Amino acid sequence: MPSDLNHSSTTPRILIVEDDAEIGAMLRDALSKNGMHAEVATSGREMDDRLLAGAFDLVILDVMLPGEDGLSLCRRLRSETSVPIIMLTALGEEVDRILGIEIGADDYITKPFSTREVLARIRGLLRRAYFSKAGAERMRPLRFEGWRIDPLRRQLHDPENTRISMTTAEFDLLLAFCRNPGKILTREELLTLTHAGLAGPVERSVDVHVSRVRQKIEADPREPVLLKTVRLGGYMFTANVDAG
Amino acid sequence: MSVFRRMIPRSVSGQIAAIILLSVVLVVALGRVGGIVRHSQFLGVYAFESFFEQIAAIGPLMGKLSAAQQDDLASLMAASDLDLAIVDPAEAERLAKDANAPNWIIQAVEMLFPPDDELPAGSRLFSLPAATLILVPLDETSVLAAYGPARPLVSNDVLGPLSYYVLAFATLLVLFGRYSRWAFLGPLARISDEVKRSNGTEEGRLASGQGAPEVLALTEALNQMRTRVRGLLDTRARMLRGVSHDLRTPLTRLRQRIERLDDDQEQRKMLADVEQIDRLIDETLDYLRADAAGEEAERVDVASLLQTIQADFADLGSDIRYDGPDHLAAMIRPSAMLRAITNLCGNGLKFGSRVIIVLSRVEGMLRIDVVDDGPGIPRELRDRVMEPFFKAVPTRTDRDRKDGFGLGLSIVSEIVAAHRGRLTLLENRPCGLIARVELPE
Repeated sequence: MPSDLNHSSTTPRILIVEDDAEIGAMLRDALSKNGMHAEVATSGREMDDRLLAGAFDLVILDVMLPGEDGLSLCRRLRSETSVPIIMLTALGEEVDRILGIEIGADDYITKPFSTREVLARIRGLLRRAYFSKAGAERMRPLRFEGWRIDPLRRQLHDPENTRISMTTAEFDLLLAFCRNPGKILTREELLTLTHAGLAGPVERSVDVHVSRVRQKIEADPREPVLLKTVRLGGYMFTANVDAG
Repeated sequence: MSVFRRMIPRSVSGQIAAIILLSVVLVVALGRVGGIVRHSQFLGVYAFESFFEQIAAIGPLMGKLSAAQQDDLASLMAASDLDLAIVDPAEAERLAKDANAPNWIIQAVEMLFPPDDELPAGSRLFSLPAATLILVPLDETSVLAAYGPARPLVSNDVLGPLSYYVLAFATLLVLFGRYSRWAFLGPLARISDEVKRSNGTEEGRLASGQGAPEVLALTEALNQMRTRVRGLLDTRARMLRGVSHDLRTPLTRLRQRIERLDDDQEQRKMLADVEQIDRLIDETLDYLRADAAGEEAERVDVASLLQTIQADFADLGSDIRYDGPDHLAAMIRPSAMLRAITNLCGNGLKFGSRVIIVLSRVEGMLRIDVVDDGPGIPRELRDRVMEPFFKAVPTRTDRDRKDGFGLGLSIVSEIVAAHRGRLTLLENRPCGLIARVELPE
C-alpha cells in the first residue's frame, strides 16, 4: 500500500494561490508532509503560468489577491476547466456567493484554518471529483415527490416550497440517497459517499442521521415511506428522483 | 389643464393668497346672485317682504283713525291687493286660534331671520298653510287682520349680508381643508408612514409625489439624511469588516506557526487563544450582518431550523432538547434566525448545563423559548444585556476564554427586531433564564 501512495500518478497536485508568502509556504509544507505535491502562486498571472506549465488536481484560491481578485479568477477558471476549487476567505459572509452559480467554487475554508481542516476538505473534494468527473452536472438540483434538493446552495424545499433546514451531515446523507435512488446503500457506503460530513467531534452512527432525515422528510417518521431500512443491508431511497 | 396648472403659484404663501382671492371672488359672485334672486318673484321673498312693509306702515296709521276711516282705508287698500279687515278682539282671538301654532322649523326661521321691518307693538304674525295672517291691535275694540302671501322659508336676511359671511367662511374652510390635505396633511402622513416603516438605512428613497414645494423639500432633505446615515453605516461596516479581515491574515500565519510547535501543552493553549480571537472577529462580523439585514425573508420550516440547531449542538456533546411540532412554516430570514437562536442556545449552554428549545404558537405569534438552568440574569440587568458590548457577568479568568465582546444578545435583538418580533428575558423556575423570541406570523 505505501508504494501505491508514493506513486506519482496518485500524488495529488495542488496549486495554492495566496499572496501572503508565509501562509502559502506553510500550507505547501503541510500538504507536502501529507503526501501531496503543492505549488504556490502569489497572483492570478502566476496562477495562469503554473497552470500552463502542468496539470493540477485541485486549486486553493484566496479571495483577496492583488490585481485580479480570487472571485474573478475562480469564475474564469470555472469557465475554462472543471478542476476542483477551494476558496480561502477571511469573511464568512461571502460563502453563498462563492458556492453560487456565479463564482462556482466547490468548497471554501475560512481563515484562520487548521491544517487538519484543509486536509479534510482537499481529500473530500478529490474523492468527490474521483467519483464523478462531471462536477457541474452533479451540482444540478434534483426533485423527488415534489421535494427539491439543491446541492449547490445546499437547500431543501418541501412540496409547498417551504425551506427545510438540515445539518451538514443530514444534507449530505439525503443527497447521497437522491443520487442513488432505488439502491441499497450500506452504512459503509454511506460513510464514503458523505465523505467527512458524518464525522463530527462526537461521531454519530449513520442510523442517528438517517432518523433525523426521516424526521424532516417523512410524513410519519415511525412509518418511513421514502427512506426504508433494509434488513441486514442498510437503507434504500424509494422515491423517483428527476433532474430539475 | 396644463394652463390652469401653470397658474397655480409655487410657494405656500402664494397658494394661500390664491385661495383667499378665490374665496372672495366666489363670495362676491354668489352675493350678486343672491341679490338678483331677492328682487325677483322667485321664491316669493319679494312679495312677502313688501306685504310686511305695508302692514308695518299701515298699522300705526290705522291706530290713529276713527272706525269709519279705518273701514274706508281697508276697502281702499283692497284695490291694491291688500286683504285687510277690521275685527273685534274676540274675533281676532278666534282667528288666532284657527291658525295653528307654527312648527319648530318655522319658529326657528322666524327667530333667525326676522323680516326686515318691525311691526307695531302687540302685533302677532301667523303662518297659515298658504298665507300669512298679521293681527295688529288698533284700540280696545278693534284689531286689524291682514292676509298676505305665504311666508317663504328664505327671508331677505338669508340672502342678505349675514349669509355672505357664513358663505365666505364656509368657502374658506372647505378650500383650506382641501388645500391643506393636498399640500401638507396627505404628503406628511405618507412621509411619516414611510419613515416609520423603514429602518432609515435601506436603499431607495421616499417617494416625493405631489404636495407643497416646502413638503417636497422636506422629503428631499429626509432622503439626503437617509443617504448620509446609510453612508455612515456603510463606512462603519467597511471599517469593521476591513479590520476583521486584516486581523485574520496574521492570525492565519500565527495558527500555522503554532501548529508546527513541538510542545503539545503550549500549542493547545495558544490555539485556544487564536480560536478566541477568531470568535471575537466572528461576533463582530455577525453583529454587522444583523445590522444590515440584507437577507430576504422566505417561507421556512421553523421547526426543522430549530431541530437543526439542536442536532448541531447535540453532536458537539451538549445536553440540548427540542420540544415542539415536527413542522411549522413561517416567513423568516433563515440564516439570520439560525444565527439568533444559535446565539441564545450558546449562551444558555455557556451559563447553564442544559438547554431546551420550545416552539409554540401563542395568540397568533410564533414563540421560540430557549430555556436554560443557569444562574439567570437579575431583573434590573435584563434590558441592559441587550445593549452592545454589555456583559452581565464580570469577566473572570476561567470564563475569559468563553467570553465574547458582549455582542451576542444585541445580535439576537437586532435580528428579532428586523423580523418585527420581540425578544424578552424571563425567569425560569427554580433557576435559569428563558430567552423568548416572539415573531408575527
